[in-house]
This record gives sequence, structure tokens and C-alpha cells, in this order.
Amino acid sequence: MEVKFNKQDSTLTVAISGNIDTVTAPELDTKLQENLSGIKDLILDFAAVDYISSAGLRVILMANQQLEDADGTMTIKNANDDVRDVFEMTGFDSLLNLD
Amino acid sequence: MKFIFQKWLFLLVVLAFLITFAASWHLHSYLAELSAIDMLESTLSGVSRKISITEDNLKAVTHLSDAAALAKTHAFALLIASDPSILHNKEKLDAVRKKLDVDELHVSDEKGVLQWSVSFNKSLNYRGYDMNSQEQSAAFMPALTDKKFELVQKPQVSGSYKILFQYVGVARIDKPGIVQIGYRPERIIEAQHLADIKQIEEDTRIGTNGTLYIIEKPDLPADYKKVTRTGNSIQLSIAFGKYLLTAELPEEEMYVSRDSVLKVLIIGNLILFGVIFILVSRLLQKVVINGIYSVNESLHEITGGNLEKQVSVSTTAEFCTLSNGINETVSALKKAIENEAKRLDAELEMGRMIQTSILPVDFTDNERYQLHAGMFTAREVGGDFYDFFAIDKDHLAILIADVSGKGITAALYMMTAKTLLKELLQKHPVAEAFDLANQELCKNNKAHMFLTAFAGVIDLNTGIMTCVNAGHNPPVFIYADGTAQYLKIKHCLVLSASRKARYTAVDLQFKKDDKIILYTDGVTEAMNCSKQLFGEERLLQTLSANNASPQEIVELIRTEVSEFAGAEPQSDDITLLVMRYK
Repeated sequence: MEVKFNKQDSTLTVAISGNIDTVTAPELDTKLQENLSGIKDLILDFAAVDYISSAGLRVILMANQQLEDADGTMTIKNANDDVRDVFEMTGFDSLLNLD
Repeated sequence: MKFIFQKWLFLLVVLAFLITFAASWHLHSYLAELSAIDMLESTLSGVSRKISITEDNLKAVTHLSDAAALAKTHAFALLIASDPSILHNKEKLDAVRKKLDVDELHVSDEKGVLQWSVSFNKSLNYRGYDMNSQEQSAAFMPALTDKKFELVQKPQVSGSYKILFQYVGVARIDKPGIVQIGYRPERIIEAQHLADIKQIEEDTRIGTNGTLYIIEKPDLPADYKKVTRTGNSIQLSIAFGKYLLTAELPEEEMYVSRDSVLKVLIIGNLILFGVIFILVSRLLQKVVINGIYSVNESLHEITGGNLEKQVSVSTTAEFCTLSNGINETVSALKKAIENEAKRLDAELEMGRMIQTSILPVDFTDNERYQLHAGMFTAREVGGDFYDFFAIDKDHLAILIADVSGKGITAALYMMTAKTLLKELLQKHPVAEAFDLANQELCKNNKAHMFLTAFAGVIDLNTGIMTCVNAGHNPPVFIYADGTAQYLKIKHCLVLSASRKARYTAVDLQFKKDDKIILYTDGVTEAMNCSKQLFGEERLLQTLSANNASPQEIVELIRTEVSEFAGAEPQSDDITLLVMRYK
């Protein structure tokens, strides 16, 4: 998994590539926590994400909670069909902004 | 590390080179100075010898010339004594002058007044000149009274000719009077010229551009010797007789040998130190650095988790000791880890037993339904669970859930969730029970755990099942005729993710022999060694056209998954619940 950050004012775009699974999720969590302070709008670019496990969903859930608490927004864009299926199956599609 | 070491080695070598260079510079400067002083000293001693020889020669020549002149004067006096008439014959007198090879002949009377004179210059007449009238000629006056008187005067500039002239006089033998001869002392002048110190100064060579100075300085002590350094030359001064001899050599000439030696030395040293640098660098690289790298690599592998790795660097005794030390530490560590792992395993085993023990296992056939379930855990305690229980005599609840994450946290969370869901499902309709459970689970959920769950409550009389899917894998429905399909009912959000989530129920109609299969993602996400997933498609195929009993279906899925995974270890719990409506 690779993570690239692009910050503009209070908008942070995070491009993730690879699998977000039990092994890589803690790393994504750490990196997000390091960059989230002062962010109002978080955009997660999932164009290169192949797979997300429940551990990955937990990281997404935590980030979403954090932005909600800060009256911000979190958007996930470019998710592929497999990832979209996971979001739909787990009902996350009703919770998250999917673009 | 290699570069740090090379940097320091390079600095060290450069330092050594500079020190050697400075030492050579000083040594050779010192030697050059010594040899320059030596050379100047020997030059000056040569000059001293030359001066001394010249002075001796001059003395000898003067002595000889004086003796000859005195002899001539005596001869002239004798001639007059034997024949005084010669004085009155001017021609004869001049002939005598020529024979004697002198320039003037003078004879005075008893009062010291010249009465008879001949000169090579005919125009001059000395007759009547009183010898006492001038200091130079008055020196001869004692001859009037002293018969043994004789005087050879030093050459002096003559008043008449303005050239050097020398006079010799003796007493007249036959009567009182002065007999004197005068001449130009050419040999002495020549000898004096040869003995001229200035000539020596000019003729003496010191190096190529050195200079000799001879100064008259009679008051110096005889052993006077002094070395002087001026801005760009070195001088050696010694006293010799009445002279101060100073030899001077320009500095560039003094250091000419040092500079050429140093040039060769610099080139030689550059090569030498270059070779030393390369050799030491190579040697240390071989003996130390490669060893350290090798140890580091092994340590990296060990910290990467391979405790079987042995460090085996044996280039030097120190590395052997280090290797053995590391190997012993790792082996002790391994033993400690194994012991700890055993203890942990025992505790996890206990945990797993407790976890499994709360799952119902009474699969006794009922007249209205047949049910079987199983949970096959991965190595760790997990967060899967299933449940089934009668709400009243006509209603049966079935439930499957999967807590996100693994380990102790997930297991504890699972216990809470299971108790909570059972309690709520027994008192409330399914959707309401999920709403309430979600609210409860969202409280104090600091770990951000969540769980996917599917629950259904079937009215055993009508076959209508009211069910809710909270983000769980879609169950498989197998119709009595063997057709299998996924239950694509509305997927609500997983439990414990958001307080705002609302859960809605859907009704399913069961007919006789229809079956429902609940499973967790441990089935569909089981992986084989080529990283392929078991997948929903394969599960559906396994279940299609199947008329087996719930117990057989549980075993079938378990076998299929295990065959698919092959040697790949099970990474997630596999939980299954199958119900057949009679």
C-alpha cells in the first residue's frame, strides 16, 4: 500500500494505492492521524485501491467520525466496483459520501 | 558508515602528508642553511688564504726591489768615492744613471743642498734644492753625519711628476753628503696591483650570484664570526687580519637543492600516501566493514522475524566473539519467546474454549425445522459468532455476526454483542432490536469496533421470516428444488458504526424444505496459495442442486474451503449456520 498526501488550505486529498487489509490498515491509520489536524475536507482517492477489508473499513469509519466531530466532510472518490460492493454490503454507502 | 570511515581515513592521510611535508621542509631548510654556511665558510677561508699569499708576495717583491735599489745606491756612492770627478761630467753621470736603470741621481754637499743631479727628464733642474726644505727629503738628512745611514723610502706621489716615485739614500763615503737615487717602482706597483684586495673581491665567485665584500676594519677581534639572515640572503662574516670578509648568498640559491628535493619528495609522498590510503581502506573494508555489514544484515533478518538466522562472521577473533554473543542472545530470546508463546497459546486456547462454550450446540431435530451450525476459528480468538434460540413456541431467531478485528478485543466485544442481541431480540421486533443494540453499542465505543450481523425471526407456523442485514455477507437461500441464490435484501449499516443508523426489516417466505445458509467472510475470503479468494460464485456453485441436510452442508462448505485453501493457513474464523424449514 502507498499513500500520497496533497494539502491545499483545509482540504486534504489522500491518494491510496494497493490493498487496505489487516496488515496495511494500521499504517494508513497512523498516516491519516498525522495529517488530519486542521482539515475540514478530506478526500480519499480510491482509484488505485484494489481491496478493502474490515480493518480498512474501521480506519475509514474513524476518519469519518473525526471529520463529523469537526463539522467537516469526508468524500471517497473513484472507488472501483469491488470496493463499492464492499461499501454497499456493509451499508457504508449510506454513511459515507461516495463520488 | 563506509564513507564516514573513508572520510576520516582520508583526513588522517592528508594530515600525515602535511606533517611529513612540513618536517621535510624544516629539515631540508636547516640542512640547506648549514651547507650554505659551510660553503661560505670555505669560500672565505680561500679568500683569506689568497689575501695572505698576495700580501706575502707583495712583501717579498718590495723587499727584493728595496734591496736592489739600496745596492744600486751603495754602488753609486762607491763609484763617487773612487772617482769624484765623475760628478762634474754630466754625460758620464747620465750614462751611470742609465746603467743603474734608475730615473734620477742626486748628490748633496755637506749642508744637504743638491749640487749634482741627473734626471730622465732633462727639463728638470734640481741643483740648489735644500733636502731639509721638505719633510719627504728631510728624512735623508741624517746621512750627513752618519756614515752608515741608509734609507729606502716607501713609494710616494712625486711632487714633480704626479706619479709614484721612490727614493733611496745613503751617506757619501769620501766627504759628508747625501747620495740618492730616485726611480719609478714599476714592479712594486705591479705587485701592489696584483695584491689589490678589490681584485680579489671581484675575482671570487660564490655560487652563481653570491657576492664577496672585503672591508678594512682593523679593530675586530681575531675570532670574529657572524651569520646574518637578511630578507632574501644569508651572510657570513669573519675577521681576517685587518679585514672584515663578508660572503653573501641569495636565499633562492641556498634553497635550490631543498626545493628540488622537496619536489621529488612531494611526488613520492603523494604516491606513497595514496597507496597507504587505498590499502588501509581495502584492508579495513575487508576485515571490519564487510563484517559489520554482514552482522547488520543478519541482525536485520533477525529483527525482521527470522530467529533461526545465525550470525557467522569469522574474519577476526572479535567478530567471532560478536557473532557468538549475538547468536546466544537470539537463541535465549527465541527460547523466551517460545515459552511466552506457549503461555499465550494456553491462554488463547482457554479463551477460545470459553468463547465457543457460549455458542449453542443443541442441534436436535425439531418437528418444524432442522438446524446445524459451526464455528471454525483461526489461530487467534476471533470475533465471529452465531446464535439461535426460541422466542416463544412459534418463533425461532437465528443470528450470525462478525466483529471487525481479531484478538482479545474482538472476542470481548463479541461476548457483549451476543448477550445484548439475544436479550433485545427476545423482547423486541428484529428491526427495533437492532436499533436499540446499535444505540447501546455506539456508547463508549472508543476502540471504534463494529460488527456485521444478520438476524431473522421466523414464524414457524407461517414460514415468514422477518430479517435484518446489518452490513453482513448476503445469506444463501436454497429452494426446495435445489436452486440456490443470494438474498439481496436491503443492506443496512454495520452495527456500532453510527448512532444515526436505522435498521429496516424485510420479510421472507419459507416453504417446506427451503434452506437458508448464514456464513461469515471467512468463507468467501478464504485464500489459496496463489492469493485467489474462494468467492461468492464458488460458494453458490457448492450449494447449488444440493439436497443435503444442514449438518452435511456445514461439513461440505468446511471441506470445500479447506481443499481450496490447501496449505495456506486459515486467516479468519469460518462460521456457518444452516436452517431447513420443515
